Amino acid sequence: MNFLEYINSYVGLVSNKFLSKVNRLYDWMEPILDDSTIVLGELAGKRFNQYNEETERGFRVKIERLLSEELRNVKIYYVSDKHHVVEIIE
Amino acid sequence: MNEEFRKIIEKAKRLRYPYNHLRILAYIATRILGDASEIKILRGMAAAYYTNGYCTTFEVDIYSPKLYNNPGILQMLGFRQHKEYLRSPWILEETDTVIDFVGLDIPFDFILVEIDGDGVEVLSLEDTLAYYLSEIIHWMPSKEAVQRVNMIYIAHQNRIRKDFLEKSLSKMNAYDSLKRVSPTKFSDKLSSKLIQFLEEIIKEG
Repeated sequence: MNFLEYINSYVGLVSNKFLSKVNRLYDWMEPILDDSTIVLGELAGKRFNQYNEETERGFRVKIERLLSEELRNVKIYYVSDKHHVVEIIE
Repeated sequence: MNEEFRKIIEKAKRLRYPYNHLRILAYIATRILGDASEIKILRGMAAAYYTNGYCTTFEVDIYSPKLYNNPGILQMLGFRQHKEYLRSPWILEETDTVIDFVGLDIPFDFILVEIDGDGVEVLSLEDTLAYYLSEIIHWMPSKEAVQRVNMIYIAHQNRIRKDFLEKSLSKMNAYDSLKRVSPTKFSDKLSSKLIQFLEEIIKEG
């Protein structure tokens, strides 16, 4: 099981097991959350796969397409607490 | 649909979630409605923004009286209202952007998020965290609420200000509740570092 699968196996569960894993992974996840949109995109895709069957509203979001490799990344600049700028990396 | 919006859609389609939806909404707020503050993004999409797309939601909950009262704008841009679904969302099929209009019963704080030259307002970091914390404190929380709280805190633990979070919790009547029962009551739902952070807020409050 690779790193991403390892995280993904646990982050969606509301249990002591989940929390202990989150706590243990704390220092690993912070830099990922801050710096790597790609990794998070993959995580989001995997998480969506768990939920993107027909919802109670009857539609599904085509996250697979949105997460495909040719999509642009972004970098967020925190100009101030009240002003963020999302720069699209071309 | 005008040519300018067509180009925005093409750009949005090349962006990762949730920035694709932010791009669309920033265009509508700034260039159609005239100001970033005309669309305020709440709840799940704010959590998606603060977790860089890790936490996801199907729809964008927005507060926008101007847009709500002028549905012709959304129709002109290619959105279609789906009354067969709960809350009758407006959907732009090309980008799967799903808009739900919501009310604003709490005096939330918002921040300006600029993307590709346009702007839109997003619920502030502390208010987003407090919103889901209050769900955990007051109700039987959803799995999404628990995940959002923990992930937002992990992602922004060095940016969240204690005094702002205290104010946000107070706005949602959650500060006193938390003080009364102690954050450790939620140790089965909140990470230990977040519990410690909340305890420090109560101690210093």
